[in-house]
Amino acid sequence: MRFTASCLTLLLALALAAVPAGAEETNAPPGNSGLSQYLEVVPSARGNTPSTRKQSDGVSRPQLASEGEDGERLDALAGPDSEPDDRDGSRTTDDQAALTSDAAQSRAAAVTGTIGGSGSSFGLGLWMPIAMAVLAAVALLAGWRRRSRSAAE
Amino acid sequence: MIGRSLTCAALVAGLSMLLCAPASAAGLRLGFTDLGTVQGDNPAERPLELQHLKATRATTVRLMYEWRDIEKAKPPSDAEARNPAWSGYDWSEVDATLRDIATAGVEPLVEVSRAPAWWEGAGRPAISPTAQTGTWRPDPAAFGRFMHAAASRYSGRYPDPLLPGRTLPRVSLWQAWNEPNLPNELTPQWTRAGSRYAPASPAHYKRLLNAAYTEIKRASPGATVIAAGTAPFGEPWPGGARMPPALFVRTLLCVDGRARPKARNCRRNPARFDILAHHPYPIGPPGRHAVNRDDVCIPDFAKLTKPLAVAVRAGNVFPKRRKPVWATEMSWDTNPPDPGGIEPLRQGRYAAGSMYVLWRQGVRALLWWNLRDDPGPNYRSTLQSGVFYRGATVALDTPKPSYTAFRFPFTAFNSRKRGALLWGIAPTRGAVTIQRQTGATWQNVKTVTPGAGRVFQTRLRSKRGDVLRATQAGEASIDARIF
Repeated sequence: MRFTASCLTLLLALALAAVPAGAEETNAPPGNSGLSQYLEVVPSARGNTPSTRKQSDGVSRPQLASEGEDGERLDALAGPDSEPDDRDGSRTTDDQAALTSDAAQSRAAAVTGTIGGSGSSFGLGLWMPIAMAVLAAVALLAGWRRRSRSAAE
Repeated sequence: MIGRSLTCAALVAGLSMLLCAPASAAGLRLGFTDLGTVQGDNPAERPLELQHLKATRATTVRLMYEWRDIEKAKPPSDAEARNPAWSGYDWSEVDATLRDIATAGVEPLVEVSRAPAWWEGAGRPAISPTAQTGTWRPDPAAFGRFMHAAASRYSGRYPDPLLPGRTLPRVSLWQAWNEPNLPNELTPQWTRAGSRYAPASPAHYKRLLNAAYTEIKRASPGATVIAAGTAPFGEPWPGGARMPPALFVRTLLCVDGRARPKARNCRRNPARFDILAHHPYPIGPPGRHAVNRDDVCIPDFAKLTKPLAVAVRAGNVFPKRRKPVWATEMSWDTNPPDPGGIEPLRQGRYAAGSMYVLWRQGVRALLWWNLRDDPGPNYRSTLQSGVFYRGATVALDTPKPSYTAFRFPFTAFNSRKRGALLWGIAPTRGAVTIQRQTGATWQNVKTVTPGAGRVFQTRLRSKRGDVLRATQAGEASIDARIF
């Protein structure tokens, strides 16, 4: 029983962990307005989806950027007023509001997408629910066997 | 034994220095694109704008023309298409712009893209954001013939139709197409067979580039042909709207493999160009790498230069020799005036920092996007990345700190163990004095002599909070703060 519970908890944790990364991610070049051809799109856990308008309004995730030594130094050199990264002023207040509502709206969709699969070329797609079902079956089987053994004893 | 080890270490160090030397042996060409004013609707402002460009000490102006704007009718024959005097071509704007540029003593780089409708390929879908006018499978041979006409007209030998006895200015830098990894420049980017996507734009672009190269060299043998600057970002999956630039370049050069590039045999159909170009628009400070493996920001040029070197060795490019790499677009917007921009002083420091990061990677030219800010208030779709704030007229434009960064670039990288690395480009060849700010005054701390391309670099023991600058003949660089 404990094993089953652990398994289900693990599964739940996996599904939840996928949620924050479920939305499309973009890194906006600071100071280059909203010209969508100059926005970097970061793949999401839900799988990649084709380019849409949402890219330019997506959630910034500057932590993903692998900052080289030079980058950190130059960032620091830029001035005492250097802030961390989404400070670079790449977004307006309107953008931030749009992002917040976008992120909120997309959370449920992201869970559905993560569990159901988005059918994209690189994501887990249909394999995700299959893998989860197999894991659940294994957990149930193990629980049932343990219960049978203790009943026999 | 110790002696042998020391000798060995010295040899290794010497060899390393020799190997590293070529990458830093030359200077950095600086220039600007400024469509709004240099190529804008008010040619009366152009001469002063070009004076502003010269005041930054930049030497190059990049002009962007659309083939479809000049070719007003379909040429009746191949011979007429190659004829710069054919009546179906309207060169009047190009002629006038190049005359002013020649008068100002600035070097033009002319980029041409976008086909007239009659040269777009078969199967063209309806005009849309993903298949814009002039981008659908442009006819390579027709593009080549048009470039022949253009290169002939601006070979320096063609009579000026408005000034009898004189010739039209010479253009020696030609760039074939713009950002061919974007769907708003070249389509389709991918083709689909069943459920699989295959890159389409690199192969088509190679045909455009090779046709342009061959015809330009025929018309103006001494001209330099620059491959189209690739845009920095693509969708990191097959079939995405934009193709990642490193993938685009590898495919163009017949090179497979990201970490260890290997050339396929494309010697019978090499890519023909003299200079490879890219547009490393940033996602942060100058040293920040792109997130996706095939995207290319300022410090990521190795993603292009490694496969390029492999392709050169394999004979997949023509002429088979080492190719320079240029950054033909890049910038940061400032706030003011763009609320989404960065502070002007930071833009200036980033500009100087990016020059160093590019130079260190062997990039030999940086052409900044915009000499003066685009007009507002539509800041989301325009660029306020100029080194001049836009006034009501060019005469009322005022310089930003980045103006100083172009006139006298200077930047510093701190290292606790080795001291700060200071780098800059001096206005002239003479000695440069490094100064440290002390209260309201500046004290001389070191003198250095610039090398090739007036580039200087040195190390200096510094502490956090130091503010340094370089000076030469009374002129001060943009300052750098040590962190």
